[in-house]
Parts: sequence; structure tokens; C-alpha cells
Amino acid sequence: MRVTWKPDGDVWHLGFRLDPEDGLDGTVTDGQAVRLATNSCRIQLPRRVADVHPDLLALAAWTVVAPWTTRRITFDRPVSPDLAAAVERGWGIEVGPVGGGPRAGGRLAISYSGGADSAAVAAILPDSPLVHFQRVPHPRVPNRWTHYRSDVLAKLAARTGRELTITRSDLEFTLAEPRPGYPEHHAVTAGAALMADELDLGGLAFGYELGSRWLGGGRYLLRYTPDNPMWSGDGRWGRLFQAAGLPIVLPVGGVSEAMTMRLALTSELRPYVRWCLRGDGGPCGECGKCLYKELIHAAVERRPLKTAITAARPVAAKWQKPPPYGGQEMIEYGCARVPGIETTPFGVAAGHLGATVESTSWLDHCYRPALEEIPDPWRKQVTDFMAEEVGFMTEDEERRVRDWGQA
Amino acid sequence: MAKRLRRAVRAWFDARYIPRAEHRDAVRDILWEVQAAGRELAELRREVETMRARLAKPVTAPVTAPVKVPDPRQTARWDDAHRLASETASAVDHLLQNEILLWQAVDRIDLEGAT
Repeated sequence: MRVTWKPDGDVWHLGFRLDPEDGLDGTVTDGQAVRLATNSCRIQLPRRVADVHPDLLALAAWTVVAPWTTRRITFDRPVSPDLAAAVERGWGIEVGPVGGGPRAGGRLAISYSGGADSAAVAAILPDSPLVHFQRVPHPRVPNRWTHYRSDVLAKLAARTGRELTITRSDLEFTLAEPRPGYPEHHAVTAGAALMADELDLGGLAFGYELGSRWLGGGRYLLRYTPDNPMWSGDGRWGRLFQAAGLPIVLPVGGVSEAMTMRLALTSELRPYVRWCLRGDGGPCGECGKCLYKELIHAAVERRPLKTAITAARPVAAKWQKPPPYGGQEMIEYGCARVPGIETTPFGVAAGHLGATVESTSWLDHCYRPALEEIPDPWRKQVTDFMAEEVGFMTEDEERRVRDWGQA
Repeated sequence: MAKRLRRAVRAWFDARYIPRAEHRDAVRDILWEVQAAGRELAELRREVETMRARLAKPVTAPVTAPVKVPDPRQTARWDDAHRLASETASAVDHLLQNEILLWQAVDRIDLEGAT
């Protein structure tokens, strides 16, 4: 794979060419098979930036091309030996050219989507700037996804009143299959990486919570994942971001989605929290994500489920089958707490899971090893917040995390 | 003297009590008002009965605007436009993917020429 960056005012164009051994079919770090749509994309920054460190350009490019790179990556500017080593060690890919020094920065920015998880992070770190990725159409790829309201999310982010940088990109359209989206989950940071020198960034905080970081997330079902290759500090992506002077920080890596929901909805950001990508005036209330998040929301507020979605609807189909489910810990948590769950689309799942408030109370507390992963400059602030607002898991509760999927 | 006194006392009483004729008028007025109220009540009862009867009736289908049947020639054109858009988008997908592979082939020739 060979990549080329071309700046044009505030827009950076990325082009890439396959090496003889590369193909259109690739695999994402989480195992998802993907197919390439086109070999160019662009990132529009809020302003023209003087220059970007080659390691940041390489990092941003790698988040896009990694799934299709099989043997060697050739950047258009020499990258630091540390960054080359991180790619070589993490992926077994040759990197060139190598030369030049590493980069560093000072501030921690939040990769802010506007959902409950990243809003919780923003509440924990009230002084950190937000960086928002906004999807824009690709000039060459037909857009079949016009219902995706990235403009609404960007407007909500702007209303938070926080220091905000919006980067616009069509990089998701480099993915033909399964559908447009981030080629690697980390591609959401491509714009932030390009702005990192300009904003003096020395770390990037994400909203990945306990489930995504330690319990296998949506794709690895029912598995304790201390070595999560996407998000662990010592995983291949963790080491790569570290090498580019932008270590991954997961302030809510130790708490469940129930806690991030509670933290987000009790914060000043509540009016701007939106996990639905479709709604215009508000969440659509019709999609699978709205249904899943409503279960958590209702559980946190200990109230009946408010939804028009019935068990017969396609978005509720997976809950009519037996487990395992993606994000199963939250399904258990919700089923144990929502009054009248039997008559909701989660009734069948609740019957299979047989969860109780006692069996899911570990999800009300913070998993300490997650805090140990947070780099030094920011660990204390997050730890203090968790001690004050959430509380820590007992030894028994921590064992529930480690035994997840084993019972 | 006694006669004069009696007349004075009667006059004094008469001044304080309503004469029989006036009583009769008042009673007639009140009776008329009661009858009028009775008629109004009967009228209201009838209205209530009609409303009840209307509610008890099965709900008829809501009145809808007459469904405008689109011209079949027009729907055929819409279907055709949708088919063309889908096929064009899918063709562009393949064109873009072929372009990637074409560049890969071009680069391979360059590489072979260089070695």
C-alpha cells in the first residue's frame, strides 16, 4: 500500500494505491470483513494548518488503509522510528520511509460523537476540548445513506458551548461493504490527528465503556478482553497512538453504559445528548439503537419502557432469539430493572437471561484496572471523579468482569 | 273611637302585608317560570338522548380524501427512474473498484520496468 497526502487550503486529500499483493477485500482489527469502494478520500479541517507532523499524517492514513494492507506500507513522508516500529510490531507490516523525530503535545481532547458515552467523558473532563467527526458525501461514491443525519449531530455538538473542532470527511465511503463506515474504528480520529499539532494535543479520550473495552464489545460476544486489540493501552492501536504522541485515553473504560447514561443525563450536556443517527428534531425512536438505548435509559430511571417498537418489528428480531447478545451485560441490567419487561420486545430475552438486580449490580460500579490504563497526567482527575460519582467495584464484582462469558 | 282605632290598626297592617291579588300574580309568575324551566329541561333531555344514541352507534370509517390513483404511465416512469438510479450507482461502484485494480496493474508494470 502506498499513500499520498495532498493539502489544498483547509482540505487534505488522501490517495492510496494497492501493492501487487493487496486486494479489494480486507479485514478490520475486530475481525469484520470489508470491501474497498474507492481509493481516495478527503478531510476538511476548520482552517488551514501550517504543517502536520508526518507521524500524524501516517496515523490518520493507517486508520483508513490498514484493512487492505497485507505486506508493506509506504508513506509519502518519512515517519519516526517509533511509529514505524509500532506498525511493524502490531501488524507485521513493513513501514517506510523512516526518519525524523517523534512528536509530542500537551492537551487531552475528547473524540466527541454526541452520544451518551462521549457526553459522559465530556462531563468528567469539563475543560477538555471536543473534536467531532462529521460525515460528508464523497464526490465519487453514490450516497445511499442520506437518512444519516451527521449535520444534526454536528449542530448539537456546537450547542454544548464547549471548545469544539469539527472535522468533515468522506472517508467512510472508502468502504463498500458491509456499508459506508469507518474502515477501522479509529478512523474517527483522522481529523483530530491532522489537527493535533495545531491544538497541541497529547492524548485523545474516547467514550468506549466497560462493555467495549473489557467485555468484548458488540462483535466479540461474551468474552473478557483485557488484551482488546482496538482499545487496550498495550494493544496494537494503543501502542500506535502512543507512538504518535496521542495516547488513547478511556475515561469511562471502567463503567457500564448504564453509568455513562446516568452521568450524561445528569450533566449540563443533557439537552445535547443524541445517540440516534437518524432523527431530525429528536431521536427517531424507530431504529435498533434507539430501542437498545431506551432499555438502558429506562433501567437507569427505573421506569417502564417507552417505545412504539413491538417484538414483531425487524429491529427487535434479535431479542426474540436466545442469547448470546452483543452488549449482553446491558440487556441483563435492563431486563432486571425495567418494570413490566415481559410485555416489551425484550420479554423473551429477559426470560432467557433470568437476570436480577443483585446479579447485575456490579455494573453500577467502576472497574479499577480501567483507571490504571489511563496515562498519568489524567488518571487522578478521572479516579477522583469515579470515587465521588460512581464508586469502585469490590473484589467479587471485579471477578464478575474477569469471568464474563465463562459461567 | 274604637272604630277609628280599628281602621288605623287595619291600615297599619295592610301597609305591611302584600294584598291577596298581588300574591295571586306572584304565584302565577312563578308557575309560569317553573313551566318554562320544565320545557327547557325536556329540550335538554332530548338533546342528551340524541347524543347518547349517536355515541352508541358503531364508529363509521373516517372520511378520507378520495385516493388519487396515480397514472400508471407516471408510476412506470418513477419505477424506471428508480431502477436506472440503482443500476447507475451499482455500475459506478464497480467502475471505482476497477479503477483501483487498474492503477494497481499500472504500478506493477512500472515496478517490473524498474527492475
